[in-house]
Amino acid sequence: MKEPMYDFRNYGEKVNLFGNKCRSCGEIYYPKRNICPKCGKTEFDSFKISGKGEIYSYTKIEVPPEDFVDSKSYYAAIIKLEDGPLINGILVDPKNDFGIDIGDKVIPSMRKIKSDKDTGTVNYQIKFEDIGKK
Amino acid sequence: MRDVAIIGVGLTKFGERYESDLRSLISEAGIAAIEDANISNKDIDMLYVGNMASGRLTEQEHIGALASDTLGLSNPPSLKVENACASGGTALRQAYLAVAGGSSDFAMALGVEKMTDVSTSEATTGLGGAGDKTWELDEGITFPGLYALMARRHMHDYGTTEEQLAAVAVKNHDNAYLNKYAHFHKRITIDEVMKSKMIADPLKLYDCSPISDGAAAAILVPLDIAKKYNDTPILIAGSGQASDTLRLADRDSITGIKAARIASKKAYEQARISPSDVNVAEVHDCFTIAEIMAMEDLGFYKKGEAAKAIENGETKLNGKISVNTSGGLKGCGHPVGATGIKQAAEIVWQLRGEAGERQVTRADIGLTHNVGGSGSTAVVNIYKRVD
Ligand SMILES: [Zn+2]
Repeated sequence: MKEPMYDFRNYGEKVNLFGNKCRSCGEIYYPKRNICPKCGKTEFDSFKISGKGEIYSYTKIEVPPEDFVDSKSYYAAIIKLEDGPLINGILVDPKNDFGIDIGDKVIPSMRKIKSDKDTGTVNYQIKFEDIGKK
Repeated sequence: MRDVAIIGVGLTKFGERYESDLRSLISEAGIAAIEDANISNKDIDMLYVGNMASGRLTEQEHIGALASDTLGLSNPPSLKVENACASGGTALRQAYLAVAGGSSDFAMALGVEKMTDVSTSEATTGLGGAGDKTWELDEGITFPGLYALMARRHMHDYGTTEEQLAAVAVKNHDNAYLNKYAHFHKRITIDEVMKSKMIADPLKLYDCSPISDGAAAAILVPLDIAKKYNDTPILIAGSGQASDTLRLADRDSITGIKAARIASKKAYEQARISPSDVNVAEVHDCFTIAEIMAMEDLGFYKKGEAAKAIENGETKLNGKISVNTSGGLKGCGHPVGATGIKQAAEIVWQLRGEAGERQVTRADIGLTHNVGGSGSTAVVNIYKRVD
């Protein structure tokens, strides 16, 4: 069993989508970095990513992790953000099974994601909502 | 750098080995390798143990010393090498570097994983640690999910089909059927793969390698003394390793594994060969899509052309290139830390002409490709027979 702090250490970054931006080369990172893989510099400014983007790849996970007790299955995706970087995330359940495709636009949406299997602590996380090709 | 040869290899039967613990698996593979090399256990002066998760799966840490003790070695330096699913390949490469650099004359690389003492769910969660715990797994992306994301995009970009993924599993089960060490001795059909339980769309149960117990060992010496012990020593002609981001989404591309491309380029350059010179290869098919990507990353096929070639049988036993003659991770099983060294054992047997029913007619040059996580680590080694 983990100390309760474990669940919340990165919470601020995760629920606010706080990344950072390299002051030297302008590259945007989420999660944030302390040294830039692109230019090697170490000075960054905090950068809140919009969370808007489009689906780059997706899967329907049919065998969820143990603590995702609420869900029999769910969609996971890699999202190409408008701000630049790719991130992974969980999608809000679509209206039907045919509603998700590469290239679909997504917007962020705060949702309940799991309850800790030891403590029962409920965790919220940004999920992404598929709003179609537009 | 000295030239290095493998003079002995040993393997356990892979699979659900309820009767065997870490010690017995280590004994079985280790003793087999020592006997195959015609050396004494007292000769070994360096031991690298490839293992991913003994602490998590058996609550036993410190298995460098455990393996040295179990095999009755003469107090050599020993250590565990952990690089997720590439732990075995990394241990082998460390042994190679130790002998090449002159700090060891008789190095043993031994890979082992005891996985069935915990539930499948616990083992799967443990293996998930090969990905990014905080930024992938905690967010709900399972380990099969990562490869599913790669597969989906590969299908989108190159027209790869689920039947082509299934063809990898069918081929590897066919090869495993001929391998007494393999986890599975059961041929399967495309239809059976397609109808198996969905794990992470488009990957089904039969697209995934199983959870297995097992161990593998190899003994490496300087080439100039190898002939004293073995008539057909196998030269390690090239070795490359590379790392990449832990999180899949941070990579340049998710339809291939950059670390494997870097590692193989180094290995090919060192061995002074090109991909078309390779006759037999053991590649990391933890999921069927991984074998398709491996064929492309290793330069056997142009990007986007491997899936069709596999479906057409070009990589079957005695095809254009024979791939995963052992059955691969899919058919032979995947005791994680043992896999990279099992791959080397299979290539050694193929190059010696000792692979029995699955012997490839022409086997002069072999290659192993061992990947950690979703592509965060890759180790590629090239082997040549020296007669
Ligand atoms: Zn920078």
